[in-house]
Amino acid sequence: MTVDQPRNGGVGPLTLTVPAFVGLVFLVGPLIGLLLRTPWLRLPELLADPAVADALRLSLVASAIATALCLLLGVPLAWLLVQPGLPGRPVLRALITVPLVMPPVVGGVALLMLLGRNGVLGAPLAALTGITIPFTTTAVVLAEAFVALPFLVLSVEGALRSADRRYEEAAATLGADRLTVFRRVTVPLVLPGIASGAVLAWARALGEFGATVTFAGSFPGRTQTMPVAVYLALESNPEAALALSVILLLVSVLLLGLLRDRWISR
Amino acid sequence: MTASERVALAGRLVVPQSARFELDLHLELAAGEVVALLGPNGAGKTTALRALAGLLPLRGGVLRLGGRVWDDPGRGLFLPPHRRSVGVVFQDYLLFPHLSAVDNVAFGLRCRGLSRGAARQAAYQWLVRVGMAGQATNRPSTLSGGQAQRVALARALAVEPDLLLLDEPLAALDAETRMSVRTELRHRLAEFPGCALVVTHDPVDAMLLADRLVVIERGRLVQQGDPADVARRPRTDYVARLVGLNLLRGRAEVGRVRLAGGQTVIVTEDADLSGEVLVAFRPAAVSVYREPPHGSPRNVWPGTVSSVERYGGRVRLAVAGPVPLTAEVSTDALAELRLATGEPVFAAVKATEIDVYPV
Repeated sequence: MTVDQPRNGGVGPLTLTVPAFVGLVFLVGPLIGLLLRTPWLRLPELLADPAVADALRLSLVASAIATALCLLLGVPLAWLLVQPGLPGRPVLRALITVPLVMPPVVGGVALLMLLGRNGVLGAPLAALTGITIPFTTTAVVLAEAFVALPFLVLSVEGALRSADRRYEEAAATLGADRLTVFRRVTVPLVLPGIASGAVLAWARALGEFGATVTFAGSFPGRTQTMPVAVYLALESNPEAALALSVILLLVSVLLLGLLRDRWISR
Repeated sequence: MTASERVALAGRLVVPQSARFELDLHLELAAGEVVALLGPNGAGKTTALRALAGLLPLRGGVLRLGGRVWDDPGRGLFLPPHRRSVGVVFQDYLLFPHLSAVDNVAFGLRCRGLSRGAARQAAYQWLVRVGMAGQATNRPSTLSGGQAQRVALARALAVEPDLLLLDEPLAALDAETRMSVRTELRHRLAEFPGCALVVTHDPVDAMLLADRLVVIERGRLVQQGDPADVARRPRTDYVARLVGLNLLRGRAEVGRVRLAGGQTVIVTEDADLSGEVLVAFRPAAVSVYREPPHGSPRNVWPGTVSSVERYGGRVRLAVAGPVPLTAEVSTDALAELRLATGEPVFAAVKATEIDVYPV
């Protein structure tokens, strides 16, 4: 009987290596296309355009604030999820995961329904204080935080779950109350998990498009983030769109570098 | 506070241990006393330690330290671990990996309201006391087992607890380190003014560290007393194995003991006992013969060799038969008698070598 066996040094049957190669080209090809068409020489000039600079600044600021918000709310939420004896844990975790799998546009619509001018909370808020959230920079931050939070929570939860809880017991016997245990033992122990969760959340916030454009619109300088600006610029000024895209790509590669130790070099 | 003013521990610990049984243990510790809690795996030793530390609430009973109630489920009282004056040395030390040795020791002092500087200073003094000043700024991951043990002890002692708990404090150490650390630990415990409880399954650690042994099996107290007494007169098969003695059970008659299987053990006449008794003798006191021995009045029981094991420079034989026992013979004797597993033998013990005591 003859069998197709790869010779020494072969990598395997063609039925697997061919799709693998196509897959690789499919992932890398568009990036090469982007880099080839980027007007590198005009890049400084394009980035100096106030509209581009505004979008870049807004994106960085909003995603940073959104990440901070995620940390502030997400780390305690992850902590709650791993507390022994927590009732309804599976339901709670499912609820947290929904925004992760839901299309961001739906998230934007949902945020409008809650916080919009006629929203469940938005209407009384506007009536009482005159404050309206949609189509403001605040809305950008909220939209980004909404889609990014699950990434942080699940990442930190995983870290907490695999952390040795006996350190917390040791801290308790040394006289630490629960808040001190959390602050001085739990958080330092899962710091790598928190850091990678924050980087993931930041990447997600930076690239956020659907929820932002739905809930915050695209007012230049106020709510027009980089991804929104890229999308709009493709119609009016394709070169600027390319420049913005390259910047976003560079930021992503930078993030990859930050995460390298955790996921890439396994 | 001087030692005499220090408070003592009194309690009855009732805690579920497993699906099959619960821990139910009366425990009293005087100030300055070191008690070793000894027992086989799963007997409830660590459960007892966790209940004392407040990491596990009692289901029944009560726990008091001095005048203060630490746990009383009947009255709904429970003092959480961080409010108890307790220091714990955990089995694998659990030094916080993100803190240096000195910050590990300072942790408890910081929790008690000392400033960072004052806590560090006091912690450093503790490290000096346990001989770890040179490693003060080291992370736990860079410490050897013996060093980590010293830091863990300093961390537990630094808060000057009323109750010091040590969970298998020497189990994680190699044999050589173990000896030196054990000697140091003994000095520290001798100086310690509060109550100290050492959980261990190692009889040598227990005998060398403790003033008193408390032995539990399946959650119940089976024997307690000073180490020499326990070593001489074991009350259960587990304790007998632990201290390396043969133990038989029977009913006392004049000058002899009738075992449950009908065999008799001749003992010396001055053993004036009646009723249920225990019979103990050393494996080295057992002589082994191929043929029934003659001569001085002895206890002679037939049996078969069921296992042969090296024991130091000598050999231990397990002899199965109507009176199962362990005999210790020289390697010469082993060779001379050509003893091997399955061989029939006669085991003999002189009456003067046998200790008889009430159950």
